[in-house]
Amino acid sequence: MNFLNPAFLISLAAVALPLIVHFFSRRRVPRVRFSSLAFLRPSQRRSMKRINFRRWLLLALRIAAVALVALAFSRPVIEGALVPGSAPTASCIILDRSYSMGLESERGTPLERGRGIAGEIISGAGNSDRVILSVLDTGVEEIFDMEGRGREFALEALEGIEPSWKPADLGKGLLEGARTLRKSGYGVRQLYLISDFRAGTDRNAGTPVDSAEAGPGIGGKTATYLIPIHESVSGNVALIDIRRPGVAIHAGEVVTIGATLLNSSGRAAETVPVSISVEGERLINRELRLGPGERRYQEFSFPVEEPGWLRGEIELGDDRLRYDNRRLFVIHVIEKIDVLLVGEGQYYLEKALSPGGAEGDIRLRVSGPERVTSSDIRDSDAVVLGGGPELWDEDLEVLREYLEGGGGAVIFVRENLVETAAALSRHSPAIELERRERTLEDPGTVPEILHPFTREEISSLSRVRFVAEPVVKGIPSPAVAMRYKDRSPFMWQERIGEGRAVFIVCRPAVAGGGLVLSPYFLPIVQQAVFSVAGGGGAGGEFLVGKRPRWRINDKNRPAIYFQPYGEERPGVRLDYRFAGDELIAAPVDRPGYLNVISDNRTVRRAAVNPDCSLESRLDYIQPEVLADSMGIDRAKIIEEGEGAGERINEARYGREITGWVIIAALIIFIIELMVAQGAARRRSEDVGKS
Amino acid sequence: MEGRGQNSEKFLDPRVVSRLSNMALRARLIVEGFIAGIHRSPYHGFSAEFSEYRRYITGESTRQIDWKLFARTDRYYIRIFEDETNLRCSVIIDRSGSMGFGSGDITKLEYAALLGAALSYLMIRQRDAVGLTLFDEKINLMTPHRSVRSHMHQILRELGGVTPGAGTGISSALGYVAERIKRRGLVVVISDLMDEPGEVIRTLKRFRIRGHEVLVFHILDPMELNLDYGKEVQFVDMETEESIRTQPWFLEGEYSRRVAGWTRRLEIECKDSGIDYNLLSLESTFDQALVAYLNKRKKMN
Repeated sequence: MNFLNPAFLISLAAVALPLIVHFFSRRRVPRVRFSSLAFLRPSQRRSMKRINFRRWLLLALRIAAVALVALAFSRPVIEGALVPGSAPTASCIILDRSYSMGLESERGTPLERGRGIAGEIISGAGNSDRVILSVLDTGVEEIFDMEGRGREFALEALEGIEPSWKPADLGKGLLEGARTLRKSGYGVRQLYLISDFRAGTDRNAGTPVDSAEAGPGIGGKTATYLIPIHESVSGNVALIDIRRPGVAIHAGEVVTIGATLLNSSGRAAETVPVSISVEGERLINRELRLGPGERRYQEFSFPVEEPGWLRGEIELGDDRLRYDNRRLFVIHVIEKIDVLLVGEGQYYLEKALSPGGAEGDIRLRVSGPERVTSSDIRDSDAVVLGGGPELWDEDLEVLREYLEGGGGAVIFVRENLVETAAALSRHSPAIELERRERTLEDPGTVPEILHPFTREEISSLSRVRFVAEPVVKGIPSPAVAMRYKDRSPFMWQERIGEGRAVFIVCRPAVAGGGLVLSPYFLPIVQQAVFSVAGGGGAGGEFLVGKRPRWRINDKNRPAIYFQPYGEERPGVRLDYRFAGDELIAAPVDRPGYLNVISDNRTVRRAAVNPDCSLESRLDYIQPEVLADSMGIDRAKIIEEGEGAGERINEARYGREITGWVIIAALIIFIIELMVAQGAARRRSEDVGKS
Repeated sequence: MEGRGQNSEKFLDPRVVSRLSNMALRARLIVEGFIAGIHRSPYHGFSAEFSEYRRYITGESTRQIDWKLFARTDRYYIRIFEDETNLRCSVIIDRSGSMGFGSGDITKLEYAALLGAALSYLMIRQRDAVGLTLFDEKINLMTPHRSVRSHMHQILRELGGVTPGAGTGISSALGYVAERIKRRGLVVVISDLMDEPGEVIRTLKRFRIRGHEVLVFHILDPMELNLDYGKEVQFVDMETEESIRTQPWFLEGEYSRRVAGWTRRLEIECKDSGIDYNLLSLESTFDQALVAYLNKRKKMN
């Protein structure tokens, strides 16, 4: 209990009055000269106990009544932590600015309402109080510290807060706020969390937090107030994920973009328009109907003609939460692929990659059995290893670096390349040479690597005979695209760093069987090359707030630019650093495109999208559950709405109970009167009866 | 006449009559008020009987000089007459400390004095010889029994100046009086009887044993009967100065029962002993006592 007028507590000394009256009035009892005490004495002894009990009861009631009146003057409050002006207070306001706070409604967005509540808290702070205003999404950013400055600056800073493109990590917000308060050194600390309490990045909400992590600030000396701004939503359709080709696309090919849509409403079906645009040109318009709570993966295919790093977007029709209605993507469309063919005796491979010596989609260079150098492969989009001999260790190292930096390789697993293939594969497969005929198993579907093939063409591959090909063991099934009928892999794909490699278990020679002479050899080889060419450069995706990172072979100080979505101006140059072969750029805070420039040409491009995997569901986390999971025992939950400011101050400073104290004092006073007059009334009744 | 009678009866109220200063006047008004109320005279025939001579003292009235004797002896003698008496009546009034208690306009002693005066007045008007005895722990005054008016004035004078004495000694004092009254007669005891009840009864019986008729007026204040005090008080015993601090409303029930038991016992034992017992509150009008006396007197005739 606290008091709004603690100075009046001195009036508690008034309890001495009934004591004085009690004891002094005993001395002023009138003396009555009475004829004889003979008849009084026996009764008086028995009555003394009752008389004394009643006397002390009256004294207690009078003291209580006087004490309550004195308390009423002091204006007692309960449940609050503060006494205004009694002690400097540090208050940390954590305002959620995640994108769900931008939900539009007639009453304004939750963020706008949250700003109003924060303003009331700031305005209610005393002159000697310290107010720290921080915003929360995936992290906590302190934007104002009011110690020693006027509160009008805090209110001004508050007005500038806009929703971010990130979800909120509520647990982190509470922890950071508590740490900030603990560092402030103030004895009286208050932590406010103003949020819509949507499940964001706090995937652990509901599970207890280690007390060591929470630190001594929460639930200890820090009073925690959770202020939910709960906006009920009938439904929200979000574009929560996008799937783009993992390989570079050849100009003229059809590209398929997959999008995952979620209707977060559990009650109503939603019909939403979906459109796909590439480089500002709208290519597809479609209307989708999603049932209640339905999550749907939808593919959109369209041909691409122009080579280059193309920027695209999938967009839903606008709804109340516009932050999750659009996702960006980048596809890398290549016109010609620079291929380096390494090894000797690769006639059929040369013919397959450059039919008739003509330069089609592939610009072929052939390297002899001499050592592979960085300069040889630097300008290549893909390296093909089809003949012997085995690479030296130094060559393997150069090739591995090339792959990890985003290069592509097609490796034929055959005699004279067994050790090379085993060294390059991340799975360290066991490779044995066998001299027997084998055929392929019909996979039943078209593997992604061979996506231009038809189902029938893939099926007819099972009629091709293979002679004396190695048997490979140790490759995980998901990586295998096609198999021999003995279940050993025929073709598998691996990511090696930022690059890709395709392993084909056969000899690209007539001695290897019928494949070389079949009509499938050329498209298989070319498609394998297409699938690895470009590697990670096929167009990456990063999340807002995360640090974009690539393995880049070329360390000639590239420049990284970020172009926010919807802005035509040249991109903003980002800082970056290298960690080994990895380039790590500064995170960006909004959706857009990243462009990595090296030697005046774009070597990487990626899209930046918000993380809408969780918060777009608009799942409401009960503040009590959050408080429990954070181990906060005495969190006070103050509902937003009319009179919220008053309720906050009530929770902050407590609820004044002066009226109740006065009523209690009156009741006790009446009881005292009744006790005091009880005997007299009883006597009167006795007289009346007689 | 009726109006006059009602006007006279108000003097039977002790609160009214106590405001008068002259005891003789008080006694006369009480008795006349009483007589007006009963509408018949209680007085008997009047006669004077020669008693003795005594020498004339210069300055005295010459009306009582016996001239015939002067003629024979040549000396002045005064004729002293003795009234004719029908009864010897002893009025015994307790003036102990407890009799000084009174919660209203008058004290028990004042009430007793007024009652004693009225009885004496009435008795002497009836030619009965009256003797007055006052006592507290001991005998303070004991007059001879006479029926002359001058004696009545003496009695009234004594009663007009009576004040409360010290402690109570009813048993010893009444015992002494019982020894001193030789001739049979009526003994009127006016007291609060604040003593051990057994002793009081035993002493009263001694009068009966000696052939006296006994009439007891037990005087109590209303407060002594019901302890009707409304607030906390400190009671001080008027005789012993002992004190008790208490809140009377806690005690009044049990106290009243005890007092009622005490008076009931006195009444029963007096009745058993042939003693007329009359409990009088200070609010009781005097006619109750006078009627009791007249009834007793009638029975004695």
